[in-house]
Amino acid sequence: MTFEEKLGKLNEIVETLESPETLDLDASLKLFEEGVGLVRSCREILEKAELRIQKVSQEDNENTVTETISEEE
Amino acid sequence: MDQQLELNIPRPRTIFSVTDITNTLKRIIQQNPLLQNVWVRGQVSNLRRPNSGHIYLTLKDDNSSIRGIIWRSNASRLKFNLRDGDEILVNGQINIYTVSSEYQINITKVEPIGIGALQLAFEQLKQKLSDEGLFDQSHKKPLPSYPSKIGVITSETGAAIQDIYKQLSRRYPLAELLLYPSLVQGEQAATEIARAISEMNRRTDIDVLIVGRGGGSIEDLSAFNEEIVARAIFKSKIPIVSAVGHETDFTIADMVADHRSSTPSAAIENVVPDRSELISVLNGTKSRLNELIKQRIRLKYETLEHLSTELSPTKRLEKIYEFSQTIDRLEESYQRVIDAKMEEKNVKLQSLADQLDNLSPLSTLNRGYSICRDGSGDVITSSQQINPGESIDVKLSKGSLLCTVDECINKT
Repeated sequence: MTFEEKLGKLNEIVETLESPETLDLDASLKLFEEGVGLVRSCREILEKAELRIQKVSQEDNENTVTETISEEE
Repeated sequence: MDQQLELNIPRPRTIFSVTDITNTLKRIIQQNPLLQNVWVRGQVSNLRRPNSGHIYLTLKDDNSSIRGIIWRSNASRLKFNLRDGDEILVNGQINIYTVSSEYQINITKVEPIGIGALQLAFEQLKQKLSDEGLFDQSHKKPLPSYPSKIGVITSETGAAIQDIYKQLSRRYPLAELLLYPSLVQGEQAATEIARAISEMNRRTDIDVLIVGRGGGSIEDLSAFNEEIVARAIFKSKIPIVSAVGHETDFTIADMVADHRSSTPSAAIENVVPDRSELISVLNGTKSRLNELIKQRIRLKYETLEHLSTELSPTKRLEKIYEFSQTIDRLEESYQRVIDAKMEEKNVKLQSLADQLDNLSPLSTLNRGYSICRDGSGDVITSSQQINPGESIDVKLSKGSLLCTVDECINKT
């Protein structure tokens, strides 16, 4: 799942738990656990992400090969 | 005299051809540095653009006119459209067109009078593209909410890429950055930018494209006012954010782009969400999840509690009493019904008994009658049934008499 998909799934879970339809406790707990897991994983992604920068190499633009360039601060 | 004569002898005439004259004049003009770099002001008339690509015109003022020509190579570099009636300032060389011996000016630069050349070009291009609908809101593509790959078209060495890099690292380092280096200034810039846009569109992994550069004068930004760039932006399937560093003026690129940001780092703010904001949103979501599950558990607990009270021994005994009470009540009313029915039956029975009583021979006997039966027990109702000397049984109300018949008196 991409980050965006995770956020989407998370919203879905919150909406399901918010809806007044009765859901058995087991299913609610499973959803809750899944939601908490998604929050954790999204936070982790956000906190640990490091920017990757690549450059289209001009010499070989037939295939627009990209090379990773490191940026030193 | 002789001398006089000699003086009178005419010298042999030098005869020039027309071409000689023209060429001589041509040479004189060409050797005059002043005429080889003149600025002339006048009004355009008789403008023609044949298929050759050269532009022919006449430049005139109130008293005179001069033919002018802009060779194709210079004509294609003109940033704006020349029209009859335009007041212009031209720079070029005076020359002679040998065929007709007409002098004319070879124009290399044209500047409109009043409004700057770039400004005029800008206004004309803006009008043209606007008429074609390139700026229409309906063509604007929405930007992705969480782009995973951001393409950037700018100079590899400029300030823009540095700003973008810093801002993106801080704000949303989840996204990958793909730089397509391009000139953003000078003659080649527009072509390179346009090519970069179409190259980026051959990829499928770019979610959004930022095209821009740091701030500068209108001349520095001119690549972003070129038609070729505008058309490339319009054609792009990837949403494009223009980020030309200037707060006040809009470039043509800004108007065609799906979104306009005033600077490259502002573009990042427009393109990606903020990491710390997202984290606080996630924290909020987590609290919400906790709250929701607690609420659900509480609800289930309440249901359970309700059920368990319903099933407690006291509750059960109560139920049993309740049932037995119901049974009692039913029984009572049932009894009442039965009693009533019995009473009704009794009354009826009594009346029947009375009737029966009335009809019974016993009561007749009570009143003094008696029943006679012969020896075989048959009731005697006629004197002829019996003969004198026979024994008869006379039943009385109380007891009976065994009698012997003395005489039979027949009576009809």
